[in-house]
Amino acid sequence: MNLREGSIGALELRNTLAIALIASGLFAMSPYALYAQGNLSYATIPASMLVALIVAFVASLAIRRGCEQSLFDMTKESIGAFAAVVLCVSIVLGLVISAIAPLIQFLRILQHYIFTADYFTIGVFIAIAICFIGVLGFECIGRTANVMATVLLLTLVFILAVPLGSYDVYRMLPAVESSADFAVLQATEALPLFLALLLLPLCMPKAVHGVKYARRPIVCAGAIAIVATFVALLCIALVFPYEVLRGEYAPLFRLNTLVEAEGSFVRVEKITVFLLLAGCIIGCAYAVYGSSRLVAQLTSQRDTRPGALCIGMASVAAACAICLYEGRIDGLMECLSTAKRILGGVMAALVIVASVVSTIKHAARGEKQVCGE
Amino acid sequence: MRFFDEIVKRLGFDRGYADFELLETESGVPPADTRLSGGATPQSEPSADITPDLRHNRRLFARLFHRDINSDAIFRSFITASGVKGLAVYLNGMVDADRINDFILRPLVRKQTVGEGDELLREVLYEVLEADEIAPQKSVSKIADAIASGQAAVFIDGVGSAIIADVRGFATRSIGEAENEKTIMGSKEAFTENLRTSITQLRRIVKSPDLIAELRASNTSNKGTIAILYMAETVNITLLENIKRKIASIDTTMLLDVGTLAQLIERPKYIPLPKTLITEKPDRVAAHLLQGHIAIVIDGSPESLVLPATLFSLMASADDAYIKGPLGSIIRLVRFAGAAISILLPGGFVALALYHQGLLSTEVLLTVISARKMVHIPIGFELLFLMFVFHLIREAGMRVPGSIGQAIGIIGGLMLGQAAVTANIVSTTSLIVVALSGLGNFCIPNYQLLIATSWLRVILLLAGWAGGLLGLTCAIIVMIGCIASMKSFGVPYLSPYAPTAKRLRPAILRGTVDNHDRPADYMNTREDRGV
Repeated sequence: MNLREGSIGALELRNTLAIALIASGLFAMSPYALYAQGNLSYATIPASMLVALIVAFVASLAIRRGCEQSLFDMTKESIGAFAAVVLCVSIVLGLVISAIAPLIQFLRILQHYIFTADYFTIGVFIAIAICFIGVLGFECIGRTANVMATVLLLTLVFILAVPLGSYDVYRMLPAVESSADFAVLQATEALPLFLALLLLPLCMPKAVHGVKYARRPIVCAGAIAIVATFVALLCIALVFPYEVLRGEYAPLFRLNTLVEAEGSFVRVEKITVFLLLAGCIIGCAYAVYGSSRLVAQLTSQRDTRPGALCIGMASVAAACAICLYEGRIDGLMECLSTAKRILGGVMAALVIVASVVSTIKHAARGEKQVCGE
Repeated sequence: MRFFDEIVKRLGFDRGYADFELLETESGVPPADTRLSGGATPQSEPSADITPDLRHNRRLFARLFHRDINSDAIFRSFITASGVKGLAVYLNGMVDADRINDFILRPLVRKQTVGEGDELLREVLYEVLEADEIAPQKSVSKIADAIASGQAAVFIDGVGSAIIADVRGFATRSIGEAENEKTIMGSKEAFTENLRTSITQLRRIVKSPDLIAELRASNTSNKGTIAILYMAETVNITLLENIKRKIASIDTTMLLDVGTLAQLIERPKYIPLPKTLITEKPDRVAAHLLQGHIAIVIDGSPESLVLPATLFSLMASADDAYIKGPLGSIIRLVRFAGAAISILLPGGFVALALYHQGLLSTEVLLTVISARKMVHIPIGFELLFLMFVFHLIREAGMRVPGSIGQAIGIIGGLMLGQAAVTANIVSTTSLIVVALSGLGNFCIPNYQLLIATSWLRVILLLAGWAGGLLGLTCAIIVMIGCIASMKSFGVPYLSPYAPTAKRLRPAILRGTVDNHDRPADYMNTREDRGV
């Protein structure tokens, strides 16, 4: 067997999850989709993350209470094997989407601001990095995240701190164009990405030394990601009104254009693009590896490397294709958004129902189990 | 289908990588190396024993040592004071002739004995011979190995065992200063090629009965002696067993140096970064032994192999620990900064100059443009060419002896560089970039790591040339991922940072020396495990 799980500690899991969540939170949705009818992204995205975190936390509690090994064992035990398979498939799809979504934004940013090459040429470099790290396995991803975490955090702090004098509350208004209904749609669209990322450690108990030890890093990572995403999106809202934002490709990297053009700070934004791209690569590799691991489990394959390679290449190719054909196929993005909402609903429903049923079953039996871990 | 099966087989799908994690509380045999278990002994041919017949033994060993053509083999016959015939066999130049005469031959021919067979052997061992290290031996192959290693074998007619006496006295190099690991503070001694001397140097530093030196012959044609050293109360037994198994499974023609041994026991072999520390300083080896590492010394090699080794232990220098914490931290920061500059500068410069000119300030951009105005070769090729010339000068300077070697550096660096700029083959900015990168490279104290990083920067240069900062970023991520996934005999290569350990040593910043300093916890020593 060559599942490349290895074993990582709490700090590595926390850093990996935090990087993946922040990458998804900041770059998963296009600025046009986020700011088309107003700017409540600083509330909707963190709220969606919080909902996903709550669902993952409830699931981890139920797994622990039932002394199950993993999320799928708990689901199979409580609502049946078919439901476990459906949940597995939905998590795989969620992970693939969370790998593709930030890539789309980065491809657009690189193509519009940095290079004059086509999307696939840019995508080749990113694909090599994602596939390589994904093939090396979970342990490699965790340790790479451990190494890069401080650098990425400092980069984000730098991006947000440089235009400190330019933040003004008046730029947040008006917050909405006509009504705030779009906020709910945004939150539900982002949910499957965050939920899949947070549920993945609960599906690989051996890699994280057991679900018992994974709960705290999941909660810590979720909290860090919520705070970081909220602060970053709020800072964007304090600098640009939504009418300007919906035409921007990379509002996060354009924050310091309000600072005076003299000096070297104005050039650093392009270097920060590449630093955060490194974080995106780690997050995508985590999602790619996770999906290949679950596919291997579903199909009883004994090696995750072919799956990681295929899913990695397919994700980058899909991201490039979406960038190219988005405007040419009517309704493509709306279809994808609807599909994401349905996926998020299915995933959350299955996990919640399984957790509740498992808890009720064990409570009804009056069992007080001491898990032999 | 056979074609696909072949691909699957070659790509190694489904086969797990047989490595283990030293941090796990496992013991016993790692799953992949189950060929040999328990105490590892070298593979040797099934050996016959000698007979009590002296003439038979003489003929046997004369044939073994090719006495008719090998003039080194000395066969000294004698008759004891009791009239029993005897034979001493040894190699000329390997033994101390005075010790043979004074403590072997003279007592044998002067002291009376009364017994026969085993009783005679007992008398000779305990009452006649006056040498300090003697032991009986029956096996022909072991007697031959002992003679070949510089000991003397004494055969007595009627006795079924030979007496092996350690009377080695071959000339060896005296203990000198370490030539390749210069330090400002601390011991200047270096190992020598003599195994006994090297072990003695370590025992002078670690005066503890826990220091074990297990000697074993290598399974090679030269039958070199390998010494495995460790602290019995500290070392991780799984690690020790793994090392012994790997050494026992060596089957090659010759093993002359610890460098060869490192290549034979490291896996995978294609990664350029070293997973073992090769050092010629006994104080450094002693410090690692006390931390729970294992050291291997080979007879004939003036270095020692210390394992496991992490990236940070390879970047540490011997005298880092001998100065105050803040000072050591500054030195280490400079060293790591130098290494980072060495690896990143060429690729970063190419990326900025070719793809991201907007990131350079106007003054720097004008300097680069004016310097390259008349240079017609691409900038990437220019940097590659300069790095290659840099390596040529370094290699030539190392191989040419004495003062001429120093002159090569001056001639190559100054004259060639200046001439190349004047001839518009290279630009001044590229020369500065490569020179800075080379200087940073020399900050790395470990020679193998220095060579490895000097070629890693070529990969980053090519990545920057191909894709600008995008290519450079992706290459750096891939490189960090590869390094993060490496393990040195069960210890993650980036310990203690990834995974993060409680005791962050060795590290980038040097902490203070405390009274309750313990071994690094990534070694998972017996003390850590409560054994």
